[in-house]
Amino acid sequence: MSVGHRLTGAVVVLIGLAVTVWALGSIRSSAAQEAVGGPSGMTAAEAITAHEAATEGPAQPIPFNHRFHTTELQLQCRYCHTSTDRSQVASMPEMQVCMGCHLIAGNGLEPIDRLREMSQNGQPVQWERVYKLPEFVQFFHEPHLRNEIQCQECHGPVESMDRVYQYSSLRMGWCLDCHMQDGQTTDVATDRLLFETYPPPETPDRSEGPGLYPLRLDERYASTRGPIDCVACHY
Amino acid sequence: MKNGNGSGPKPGTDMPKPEATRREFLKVLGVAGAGAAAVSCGPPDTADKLIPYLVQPDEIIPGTNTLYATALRAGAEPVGVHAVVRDGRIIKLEGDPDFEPTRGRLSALDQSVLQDLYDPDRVTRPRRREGDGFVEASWDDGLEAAKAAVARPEGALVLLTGPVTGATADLMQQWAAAAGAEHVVYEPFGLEALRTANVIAFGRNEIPSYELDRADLIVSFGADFLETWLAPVELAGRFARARDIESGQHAKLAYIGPRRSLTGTNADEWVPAKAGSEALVALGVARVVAAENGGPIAARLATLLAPYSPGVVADASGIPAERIEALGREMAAARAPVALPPGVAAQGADATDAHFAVTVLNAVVGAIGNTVRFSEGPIRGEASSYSDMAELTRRMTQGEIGTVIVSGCNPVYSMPAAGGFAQALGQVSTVISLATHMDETASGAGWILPAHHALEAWGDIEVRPSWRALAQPAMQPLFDTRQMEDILLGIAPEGSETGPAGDFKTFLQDSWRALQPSGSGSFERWWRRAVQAGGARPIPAAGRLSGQAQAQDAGPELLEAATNYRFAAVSPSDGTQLVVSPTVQMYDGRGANRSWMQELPDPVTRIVWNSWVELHPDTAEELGVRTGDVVEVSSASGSVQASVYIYRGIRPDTVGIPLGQGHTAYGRHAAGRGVNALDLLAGDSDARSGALAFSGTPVQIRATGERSPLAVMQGSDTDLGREIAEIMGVAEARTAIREHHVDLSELVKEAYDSDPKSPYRWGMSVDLNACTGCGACVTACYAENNIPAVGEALCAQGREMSWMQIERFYEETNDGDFQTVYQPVMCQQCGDAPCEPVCPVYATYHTPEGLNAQIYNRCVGTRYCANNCPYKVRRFNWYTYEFPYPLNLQLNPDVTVRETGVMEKCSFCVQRINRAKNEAKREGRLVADGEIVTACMQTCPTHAITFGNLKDPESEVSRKAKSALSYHVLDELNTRPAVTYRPKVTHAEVAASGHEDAGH
Repeated sequence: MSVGHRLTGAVVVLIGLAVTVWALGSIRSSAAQEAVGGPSGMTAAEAITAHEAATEGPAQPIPFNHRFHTTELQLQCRYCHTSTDRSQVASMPEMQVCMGCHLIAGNGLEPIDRLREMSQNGQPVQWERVYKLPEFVQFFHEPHLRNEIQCQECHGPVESMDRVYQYSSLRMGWCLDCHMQDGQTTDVATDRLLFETYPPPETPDRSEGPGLYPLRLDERYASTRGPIDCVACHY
Repeated sequence: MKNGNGSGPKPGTDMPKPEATRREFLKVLGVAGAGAAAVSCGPPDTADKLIPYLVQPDEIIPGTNTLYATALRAGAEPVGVHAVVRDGRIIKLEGDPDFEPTRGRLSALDQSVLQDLYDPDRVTRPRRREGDGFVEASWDDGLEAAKAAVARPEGALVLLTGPVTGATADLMQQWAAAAGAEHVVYEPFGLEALRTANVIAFGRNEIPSYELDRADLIVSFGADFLETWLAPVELAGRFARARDIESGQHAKLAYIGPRRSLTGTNADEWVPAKAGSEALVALGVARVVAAENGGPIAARLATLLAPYSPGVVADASGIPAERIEALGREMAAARAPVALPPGVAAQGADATDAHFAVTVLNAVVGAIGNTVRFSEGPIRGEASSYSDMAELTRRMTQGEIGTVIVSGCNPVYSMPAAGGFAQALGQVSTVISLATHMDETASGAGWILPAHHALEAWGDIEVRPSWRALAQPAMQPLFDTRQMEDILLGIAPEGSETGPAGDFKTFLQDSWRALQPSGSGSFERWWRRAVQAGGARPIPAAGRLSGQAQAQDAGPELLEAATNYRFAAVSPSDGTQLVVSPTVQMYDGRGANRSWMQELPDPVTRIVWNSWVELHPDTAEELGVRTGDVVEVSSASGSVQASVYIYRGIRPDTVGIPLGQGHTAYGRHAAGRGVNALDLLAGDSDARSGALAFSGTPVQIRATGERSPLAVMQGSDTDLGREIAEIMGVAEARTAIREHHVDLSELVKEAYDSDPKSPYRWGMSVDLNACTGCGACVTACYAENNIPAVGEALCAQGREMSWMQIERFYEETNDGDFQTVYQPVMCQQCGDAPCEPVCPVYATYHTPEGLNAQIYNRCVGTRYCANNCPYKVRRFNWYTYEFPYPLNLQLNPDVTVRETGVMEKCSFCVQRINRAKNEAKREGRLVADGEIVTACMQTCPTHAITFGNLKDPESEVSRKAKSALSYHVLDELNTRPAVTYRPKVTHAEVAASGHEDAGH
């Protein structure tokens, strides 16, 4: 890497740092309200040890402690997971975001030194995936945020997790528990489609047309909390 | 299991999830510039890792598509494209709607460029010949060797490239001058004869613009303008606009030639003239027109035309004199007729004669300046002629050439073997190939220094005099390759002050500085905008373009020299003649290693994955062969063996073989498949233009007694009177349209097949009158929906996976001839679908928006649905098909990759519907008309496919569905399809259609 590149990199990082400091100041109050418990005075070294000692969830290559960053440092989820409200995916923070603070913060800690070295060598962190949906499921973060679903509803109390683990089952029944919450669950078509979960109706409704199984969804469909149509997620 | 995709990693295990962007692909080259990250061969397993960016580019949001405007020339014409980039890799190409010639449409070949980019058989790093094979080498060694061969060639130095325009052409010219090299531009389907004829007639070395949309009568003298000639996407669009019956016009197309090509099958009238008689027929028709219309041009040409009486022409062409007279009278009476000159298949040893004769005809009918316009025509770059290549071959054989640098062309394959180019290339002491693929020519090189693929590289393309397109790298290079121009710059001799220096991107920018209009601000800003827009239009009259840009219309006058033109008295031979024709799939052979192109049925014969020999039924009977029997076709130059396909659209004295197969190298799908019809050609050329004589080779046919069935993807050649593919006469259609009154509110009432509360019922309208059968939609569907190619054996068993097929049905006409209806058939998304009630696990069901959804993860593979589908559009995964690296990088993350035991079918691109609905919901509105464009609709060159909401009475699809001509296929089954068809309308006299307003 040329000297010019390094200088540019340094400038970018400094700008990132400035933004971080400003952002920390401005988001602190709202993050404090979101957090379940207040700061406990955990130190960075303790945070690393806690991540390594935790038993649930995969150990990460850099022992990143979510509790420390959210509850102690009061960062908001979306400070790092930026595309959550704009995209299908929540996205993992780019290395620049880490280095925005860790160019300075975390001196003397082994994982942080390792992180800096990786950053300098142009190596991304290969984080262990915690939530993995089957490939036949198309999930979009954006509509859930738009409908004011809190991150914790699905991901659990991340602000108290030293190491993130899979909080919810991600099974279809778990999705539908929420999607069908406000609607009725006796819809003929839905019952049929979900006949493993719900018993089939005693008398099939054949009044709607000449077909043998008129699988037309009626207006009760519209009253559910989220779409329960198969093709909303499977295609 | 051996299948069409060969072996490789299973899909799903190596496909990065949207979040798991790999470092190797993370930096998309936008306007900002290039990095140089190399990728090791083979995919690392990252399915369980989340790998974020180091520095995330501003324009990238993970999990969303970013479009990059770029341009490429994949076949006969340059196209502007939007590369759809997801997480650093191109997953789809869509036409750039602002690219006016093609209006945002792409051909099948254009779509398949992605498979060229992600071809597992690409050259991944420099290679050096060692014995009979190649070993991998370093760039340093390669460049050093090349540099030495350029600086001290053992003989002359030749730079042999494909057609180039713009900055690349300038750079090569300067490079050649500085290095003392000759620049030979080789284009297998060159336009030498067209240019030469225009020089003779008008003194203009250019290609005119054929404005078919202004015409009411189009007469093609073997110009296959709907498939491979000059500008297929642009001309198909113009053709469809000229035949938009509902807006009142319907131009007639007459096709003259020994074989009905795709263009020929789209013609209202076929005049089966003998191969090589095109010039005579054109002159005969011109004589009739001149006699009918008179006028100053006719008077000037009287002497020229005098010998070509219909009787004389009839003898030589095999066409009755009355038909020639009738055609002449028709052209004389037409408001805006146009004649199109021969394309590749009709290019014989008298190519310039034929082109000149057509030009004369155009002048006589008053087409010049009206439907044939100069000064705004397409630019294709100057190419050397075939005879120049023959001369190069001679010099190579004699050892005069010391070093040849080959780039962007494959003459070893695409020149007739009789010309001896391959052997001659072997005589050259150093051959350096800048190929992307191990094609036949690269296989004969000493060094291969692999260039970037066009989608990974900078470049520009001259489109028209007032228009230059700009190509930017739409993704990081996949392999250890380099920009082709930069390789040239890297091996230029040192110390030369005249040659270009620096890097190509700077060179490109410098050449674009001249194009910037004055007063448009800083160059950097203007350049960024040009990159974003994929080019600049109009470009000012500056630099090398000024001459053309300022030129005025040619006007109707022919040059004096032209009136004294002497036609060679070529008379077609009496024996059996060979017609070799390029196809939409293979073009000049470049499509052969793309499984999408191999599996795209040839529109005319519906054959996949092979070569065939077309014989007239009478000829076949004489030989005692039927479709699938192997025959040997031999000429003075060689012989080939292939299976017979019996085709009634070819003259009995003619044998047709398609071009593009029979590769000896080039990759897993291409090598050793089919035959190369060029082996039969003698390599003769037209004396005036130097163009290769593709047609007119006398051949003998012999039955071998062997049998090797072809995979023909067509069940029945007719619709058996079931009114599946409807056709009607122009007058009948006009009456129907005039007398039809539509109450659009009725349509909403009829859209009962979705939830009454849902504002949507998705539907489609397919216009058979616009469809030319080119197959672009089929390929776009493969690209969008992760459809695997299954290979010839499975295709022959009817196990192809294509979600849409273009069925080809023949309809008899009253004169004993036939019309062809091309009918795209995809899932009809029935309102009362036969597939739904038979599914025991509710894997297929009706959605509230009227779709027949197919839920892969519910499907247990009983195949009851496919058995019960009257349209036969459901496809079953008999195997888990593989997408060997890096083809898997093309997979669309929005669509599940299916595996063994799962049924699948057209979903109306439900992933696009869902994304658009989500977008609309976010903005608190309904999806607007035109917001959802399915992959097939997006690419269709003729806008034959319209998708939209049938519940919106104002939507385009509603209006089309309610057209007087619309009908449902198999309406009598009461399946209530969401797809309506509009019949083909023809000038031919067809038997009464029996069309009874079936759609309502």
